[in-house]
Amino acid sequence: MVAIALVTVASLFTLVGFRVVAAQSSFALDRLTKERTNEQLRYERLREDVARRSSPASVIAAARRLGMVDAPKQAFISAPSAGTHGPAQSATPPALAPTSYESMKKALDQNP
Amino acid sequence: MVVVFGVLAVRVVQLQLMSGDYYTRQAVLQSLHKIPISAERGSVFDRNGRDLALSVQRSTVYADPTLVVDPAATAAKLAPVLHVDQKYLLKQLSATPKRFAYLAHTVDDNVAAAVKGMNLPGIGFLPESGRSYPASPLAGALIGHVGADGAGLDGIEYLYNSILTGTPGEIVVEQDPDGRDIPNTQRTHVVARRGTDVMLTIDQTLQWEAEYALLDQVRATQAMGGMAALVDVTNGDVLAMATVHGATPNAPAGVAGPGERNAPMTELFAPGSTTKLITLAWAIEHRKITPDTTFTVPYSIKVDPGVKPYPDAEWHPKQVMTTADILRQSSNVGTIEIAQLMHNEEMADAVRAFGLGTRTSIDWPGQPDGLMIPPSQYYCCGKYATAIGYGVSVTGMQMLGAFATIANDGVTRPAHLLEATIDAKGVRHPAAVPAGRRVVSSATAETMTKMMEGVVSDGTGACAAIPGYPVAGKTGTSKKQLNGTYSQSATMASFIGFAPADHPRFAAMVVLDQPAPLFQFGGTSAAPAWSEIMQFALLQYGVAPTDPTGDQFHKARAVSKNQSCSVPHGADLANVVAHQGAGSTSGPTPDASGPAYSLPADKSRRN
Repeated sequence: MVAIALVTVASLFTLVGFRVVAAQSSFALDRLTKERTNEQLRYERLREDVARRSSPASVIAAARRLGMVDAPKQAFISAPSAGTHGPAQSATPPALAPTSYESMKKALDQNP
Repeated sequence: MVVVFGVLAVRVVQLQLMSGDYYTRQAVLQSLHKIPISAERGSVFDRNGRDLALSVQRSTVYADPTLVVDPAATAAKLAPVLHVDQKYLLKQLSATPKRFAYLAHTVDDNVAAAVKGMNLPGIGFLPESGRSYPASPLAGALIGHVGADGAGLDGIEYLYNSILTGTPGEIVVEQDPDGRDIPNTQRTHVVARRGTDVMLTIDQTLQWEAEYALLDQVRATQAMGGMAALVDVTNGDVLAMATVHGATPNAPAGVAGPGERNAPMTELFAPGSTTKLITLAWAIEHRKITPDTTFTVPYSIKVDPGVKPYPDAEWHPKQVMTTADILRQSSNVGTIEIAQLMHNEEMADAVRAFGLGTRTSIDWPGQPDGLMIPPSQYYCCGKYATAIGYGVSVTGMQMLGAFATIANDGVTRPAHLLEATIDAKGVRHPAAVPAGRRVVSSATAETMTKMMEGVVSDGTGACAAIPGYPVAGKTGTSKKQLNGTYSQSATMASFIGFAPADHPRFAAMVVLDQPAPLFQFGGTSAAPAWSEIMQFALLQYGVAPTDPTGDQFHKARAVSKNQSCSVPHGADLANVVAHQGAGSTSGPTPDASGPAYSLPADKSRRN
């Protein structure tokens, strides 16, 4: 009988405990939901702000405030044609001195 | 006692057993409350993912009139902050016994903060989704706007309203009579589904350039308005679509905003000489002529004894012209002589094949089919009028489509505005691209391109030349349709073409509505703006110059005398406008020390 009473009381306390934990969790959930909503609103605001500031009207206005002016018409520079001079020859890479890598590394280590 | 208990027992049995289900349902109905959750509307992006329209949560200001202490003083305080009429606010604040009255919808954050800071009794705030257009006034007429209920009213907002609109959700809870949730009771939550995002083919930067090059040219030429569009001929993407309205006594010229017409899709006009492209292409395709076929061309031609002769734009003696000369000099008479080689049905087939008289592939609200004279009603002269761009009414996008067809090797490249949709899960769904169809052979397209290059090198379109890039295009100057007839003075001035001519990438169209008489020709008013927009697009997209020596450009500048081919901006534009204000109504006068505007050379004055 006593055992039954103890089990009953323990069960009741456990149940109440679960209820308290559930209530606390629901508070936490509510807080997180609000945080998420606020962050979502903040994201929307920032996104709108970025879009507004990067729009052509804003960029041009900012550029003019900085003293920039419209560029004149562009000019094309014609590079001289890369014609061949003399008969084509196969290229051979210059031979590297065996110590060139080590000496370069040493020089760089000394004068980074 | 027994009787009382008996009656109570009967009543209990009646309530619990006989009508139990009914009362349970009634109780649930009275305690269940549905809380609607509005769905966020999808965003509108440009082709590079930049926001053109998005929904942002804002504050709506309301009043509980029963709690407002001094309506008059409250209205006086709120009016300058909310920018709402004080009388309206007073009416709303005095609307007792109502307990709710809107004062201002979706106000900015700083306004909401200012109102909150006043601590006025009876004033409250509700979160409400507002539509924001961060790049405004860019593409206002194209994007459109939404109404107070969040539904699209015009433009893209209306066209794609069904997919931008999300699905509302709701929360169903059981509440006590005081509105408090009853714990451990029925509760359902239907999540609101966000609307689908729409990604357009429009490029925000090119749109800006198109709008402001056009706006400055409308100001400089004192036009009543203008329209421009730019398409990528390799895929049909519409990169820019601009509408500008001219100055009126009450308002300066400006870019068309929400609620105004999107002219390239909706405005009909007689295309004039740009139609000669179609006439000549069809005649070449059907072997009636070649580019070297010669014609003896007088100043005017009489096609019927009962009708006035058709003249060329400027007097000239009878001369021998090749087909290429006719296009380059935009000869009406020469084109009519070519049309005489075609049957009525052939002329009608030509304009139909190039897409005139049929709506474009863009399903724009209010888009007209355009008007065409049926060949059965050509009678004496309909064929000839059609050949030179009268007797037909088109939209700017229809004519641009005809030129894009030539640029695309003789195959139509249907224009489209929708690049993709992005669903609520962030998955991108590319839009279906309409298939093209062949209109003329590759050889004909190439021939027409060469001939249209001549229009720019040494013809009426010299002002469209671009350094570094060969340009192919055609000018148009048509009499404006006013009150059911053609005006004798007002014109629609246009230039349509593509570049680079040898490897076409972009096609563009610029039309000015009734420029001042000095600028009434397409070659002098529309071509400079076209050149500026096209040049910007070519550079922006890194298209390699295919004419680095500027051969065509130098030839064209020799024709146009260099000084009449730029769109005035900034100080130059101010100078032009100042001249207009000081002078007559016919536009700026030539002035060596003034802005870069003067009478063009003879050749570039023709249509």
